[in-house]
Amino acid sequence: MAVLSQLIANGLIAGSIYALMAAGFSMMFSIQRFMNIAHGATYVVGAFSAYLFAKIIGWPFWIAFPIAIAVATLLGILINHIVFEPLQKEKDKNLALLLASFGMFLLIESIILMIFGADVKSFGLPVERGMDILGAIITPLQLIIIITAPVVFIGIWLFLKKTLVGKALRATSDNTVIAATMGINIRAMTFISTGLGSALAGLAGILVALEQNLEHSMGMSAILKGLTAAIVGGIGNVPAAILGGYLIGLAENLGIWYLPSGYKDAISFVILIIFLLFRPQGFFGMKKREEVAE
Amino acid sequence: MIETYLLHLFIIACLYVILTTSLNLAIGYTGLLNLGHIAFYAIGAYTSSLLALNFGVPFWIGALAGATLAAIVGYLLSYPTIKLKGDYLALGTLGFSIIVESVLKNWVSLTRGPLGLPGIPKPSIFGFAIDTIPKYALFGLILAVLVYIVLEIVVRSPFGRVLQAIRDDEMAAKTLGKDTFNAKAKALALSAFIAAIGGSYYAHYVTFIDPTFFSILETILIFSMVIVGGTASMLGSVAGAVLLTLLPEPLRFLPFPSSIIGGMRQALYALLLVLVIRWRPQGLIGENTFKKFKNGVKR
Amino acid sequence: MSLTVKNLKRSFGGVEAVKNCSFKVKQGKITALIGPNGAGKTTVFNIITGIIRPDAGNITFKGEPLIVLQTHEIARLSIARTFQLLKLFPKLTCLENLMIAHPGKDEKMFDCFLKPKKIRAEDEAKRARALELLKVVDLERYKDEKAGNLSYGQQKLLDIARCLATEANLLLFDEPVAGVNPIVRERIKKLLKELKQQGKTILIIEHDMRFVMDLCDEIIVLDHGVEIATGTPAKIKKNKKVIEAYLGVDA
Repeated sequence: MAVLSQLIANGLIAGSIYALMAAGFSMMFSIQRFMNIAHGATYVVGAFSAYLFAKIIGWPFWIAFPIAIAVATLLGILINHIVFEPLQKEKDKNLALLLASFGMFLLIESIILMIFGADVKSFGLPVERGMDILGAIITPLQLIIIITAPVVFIGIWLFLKKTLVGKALRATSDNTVIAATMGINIRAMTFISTGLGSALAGLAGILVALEQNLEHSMGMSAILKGLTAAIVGGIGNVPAAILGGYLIGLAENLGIWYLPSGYKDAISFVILIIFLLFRPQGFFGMKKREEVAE
Repeated sequence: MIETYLLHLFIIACLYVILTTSLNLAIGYTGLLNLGHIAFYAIGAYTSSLLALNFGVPFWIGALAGATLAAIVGYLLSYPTIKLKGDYLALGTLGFSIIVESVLKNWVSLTRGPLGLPGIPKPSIFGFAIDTIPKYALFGLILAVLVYIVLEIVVRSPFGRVLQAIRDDEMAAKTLGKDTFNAKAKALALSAFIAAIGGSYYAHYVTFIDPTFFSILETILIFSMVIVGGTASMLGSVAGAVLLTLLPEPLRFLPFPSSIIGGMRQALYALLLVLVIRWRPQGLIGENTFKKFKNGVKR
Repeated sequence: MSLTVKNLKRSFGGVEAVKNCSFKVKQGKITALIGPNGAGKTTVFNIITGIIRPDAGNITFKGEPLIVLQTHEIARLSIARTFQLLKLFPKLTCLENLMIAHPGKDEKMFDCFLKPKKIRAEDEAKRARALELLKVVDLERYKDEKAGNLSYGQQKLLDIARCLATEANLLLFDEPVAGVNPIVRERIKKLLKELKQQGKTILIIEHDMRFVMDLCDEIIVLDHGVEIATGTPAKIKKNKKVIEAYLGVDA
């Protein structure tokens, strides 16, 4: 029983991070319609700027972390503006954007590597005794992750449902052309979705950096999990992506009950492939309406 | 020792020629965005190494066994994945390659996991030992030229024409009576076969392999080579492979720690990839990968 | 009877594009499938060629049922088609576009190594035939030009030539003269008449009524996915139902 609670707790912790990544990825996808791998680099930049400001320079967390999130946000917007937006005009833009975002991801990752070096870094926070919650041992930091994520998600949900900008975002994601004719500024929507999505990645990076370690290569697995979660949930749909994130987190951690723990990564990709084949619209996604030929 | 160094670079360049030309068959000629090419390379490397280490199987039998296994896997992989389009196919094949990598890491009783396989013997073909660097360079040259010729003949053959038709418009190819599934599966199998040969060639050269050789980064590297060289051009792939093998080499002599050099090397590949996509989509030689011709006028 | 369509049904997300549609296409004749926009004409073409599966109904070609077959298998029964929005192979040359349509042997991967002479001879035959067809549509100057670089009218002609290169007996043309200039239209009309003389069976979808009336032996009118009239051009012109379908009930 204790093992099960622990695995579920671990699943929720991992799931929170995946859900944050997936929500950001999906928010950008809903407007721009391409798989932005560079989102993983934004996550790494969030983590390393937090490390730079808080640990190396020594600013207090409450100043360092918001600035780190701002750096991640700006980076996301900047890459989109310089590299991705011009490529949107390409005819075969999916391929061009997918590869270019892979390229940008690698470029940023290698710049991080050159600045910070290859060794594993840590905030070196004092290890606090975990609390026993229903048989699972959870440290205060882990509890912060488990609580922060849903709070952020409720915020996103309220933003999308209640505010004018949120409604405009949803309208744009439904149908760009109609939204544009209704007078919604599509470029502004791209700007906002990219900024928000990148901020979420930055936050996820900081949370992971606090709880675990920092490595320049931490982004690839994060973006692949986030992307998997977004597809499993239903791509382009933010709430579905969040649920997908928790689902993947739980599946991975419960899966190692049966499999050697080294196979943790493989589990999510097996799930990804199964979904791509049998339910490409995801768990909660609607089946694309077939176009009436004529 | 400068000759040895240059020959070593030549041997590596031959490896990448083998990997990029075979990948180009899938991407450039058939339109299959295969991000799992490195998995076939890994299957070739591990199969022939394990056969040589455990059973003393001669190189050429091991290499053929690995290549055949990779071709079968490639053919089977096409059943579930080939109905996926564009970036979904890319994700599916990427997932496949990560699963293969994770099996290599975790099936410790077979692959020794992260410890890797040391002591892979140098090849000997029909009693002729390829045990020195110059001999290996010659071997690499022969192999790369052979692969190049085979692929060039295939893409110019009627079969190659069908592949290109599928790339341009699969539905139209079907209405002309082409069994497009079969053609794509065969192209993927051939591409996998050749990648696996490359794997054996490399494993028996460096005599040590571990799962880190077969990561996503390697996939992106050969992808960059294909894009930089230009898709749908075998000559372009050769140029891309040679260029990207040689280009980062001067970095080696800079007075920085190896991790920084590694970062610079990676940054160089990434930057080239982005620059080519953005400003020279046709690559060095080849067709504009990302331009779809306006097919008629939409009314 | 060449092609028989019986009680065909197909809906898309609640919209019935084709409902209980039946008609017959006579061997060696030019038949037109007409009807207002949204009548389900292209959907019928797509079902005949196996691109879309029907919800119900039957199609037979020379007695053979089609709906159980895949697109490429249907094509091999000697049925070829063009598309309303052109579907050429834009990165292949005009010549290659036609050569690939040749109904020669199935292209096998290793044939180019195992029997290179045979492959070369076959390819020469394909090339010769393709050149002939390029002459017919007056595009031989562009034989080595990529199809994607041709003008729209030229692409239309090339598409028709590719359909001919299949040497199929039943040819389906989806709006062959839509958007082309009068000169090209006359050329296409002449070409279709010649094809009929060669004994081909032709089914066309076309909105250009003058073209249809001049050319066709028989006209089938669809409206809202149902066949509402069949007959010679002269008869169709006078048919009340047809006039209503085109102009609305109150006309």
